[in-house]
Amino acid sequence: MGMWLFLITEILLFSGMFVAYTVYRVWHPEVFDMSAELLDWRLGGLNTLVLLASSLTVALSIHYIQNDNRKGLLINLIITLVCAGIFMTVKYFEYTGKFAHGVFPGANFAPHGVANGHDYAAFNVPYAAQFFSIYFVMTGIHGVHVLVGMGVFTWIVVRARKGHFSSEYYTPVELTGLYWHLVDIIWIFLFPLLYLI
Amino acid sequence: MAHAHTTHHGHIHHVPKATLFKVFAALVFLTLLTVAASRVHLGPLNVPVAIGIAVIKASLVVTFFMALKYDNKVNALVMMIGVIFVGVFLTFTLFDTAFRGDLSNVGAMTIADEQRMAAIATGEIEAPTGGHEAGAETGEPATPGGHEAGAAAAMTEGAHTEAAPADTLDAVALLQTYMCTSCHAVDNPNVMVGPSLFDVGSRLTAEEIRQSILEPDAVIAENFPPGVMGATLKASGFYDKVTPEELDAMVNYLAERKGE
Repeated sequence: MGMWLFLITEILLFSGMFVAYTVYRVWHPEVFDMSAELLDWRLGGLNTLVLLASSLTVALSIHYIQNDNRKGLLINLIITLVCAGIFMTVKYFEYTGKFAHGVFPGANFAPHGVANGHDYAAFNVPYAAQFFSIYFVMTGIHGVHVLVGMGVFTWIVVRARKGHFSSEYYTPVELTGLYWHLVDIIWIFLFPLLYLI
Repeated sequence: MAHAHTTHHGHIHHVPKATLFKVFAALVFLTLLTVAASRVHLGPLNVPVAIGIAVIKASLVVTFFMALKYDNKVNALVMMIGVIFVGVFLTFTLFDTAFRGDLSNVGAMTIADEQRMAAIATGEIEAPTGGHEAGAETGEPATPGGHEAGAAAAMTEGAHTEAAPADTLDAVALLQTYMCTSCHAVDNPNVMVGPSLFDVGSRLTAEEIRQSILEPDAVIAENFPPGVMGATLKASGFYDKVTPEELDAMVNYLAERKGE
């Protein structure tokens, strides 16, 4: 139960940012709608599928260790880590793509250049900067959570290789899994709100 | 941290492997669905559809991947409470932010007065002027002589084929109608955009008051910016609309304002 209590603190952490997004969206719906066009929904969609797959492999790894299948546990944990790495790599390319066109969070917002059929300078309208600040902060903090998750999973993989887990005891895997599913759930909401609508 | 479980306790949440794969398939399908739905223009429905699909996906993850369905019900309660608080957070914040109105309006006039001025300018409502014929008005019944108190709302009055004498004109109503009271307090000493007129009669003569109205920048009250009153009166067309009798009524009234 302690883990679930921790998870709702995490949910409320992200809620603060979701509420900020909602308020600004209600105040400036057209600007937010338009600014979302600069985010590539195909990359966002790919990242969504990647995280969903990683949640599957986490759940599978627990399933296997419940049946004392240490190999199943290990392989699925490693696939989870790989998926997380893919997610961060895609995010890296998304962020650097934005930076190259002057789309920075906060005061340095200065969109310029043409790419993918977008004239970035046309997005230099009032409150577009707010959209991108919210985008960077929300996906940034989410990204930090992914990195932390990767770190914890690495430790779990090390312990799994050492044979610490069995059907009798796999609680750390379970708890890390719960954390990871929450990271996935946050992204399930971030993707449509930022990229799609 | 957690202890090693040496015995199987009652609730082992074994989610069948087939279930996990079916849930994953559903999640992938819903992802494709939400992307497809966003490419279709559903107008105001796009947002609730996207959020609705996201809620379904999240519920699947919580129920099956996180095994909440098979778990101790207390954990489900904890999760439910968290979600409810998110709802409270969002709802009450929106109660404030979605209904703040125009906080960035820091002009000299109130919003209601600005709207009235615009309506007067377009002719939608009449500013009360002594010279207008009955034909210029809406079907309000003719009232001889003075305006009602609070005539600010009912702009059209009965026909005045000749100007009414100054002392029967309601100066208080005129000060409202010409929106003097949106910047100046008249019956209390509070400073608003302009100085209070509460005791103006004890500070200025009637002629000085008249000059303050006709040439506001001739003498500026201390610590107040020049130009504001003049610009406001010009913009509202005050100088074109006010009749000499109305001006007299207001000046005389203000000259009597000597404070308490």
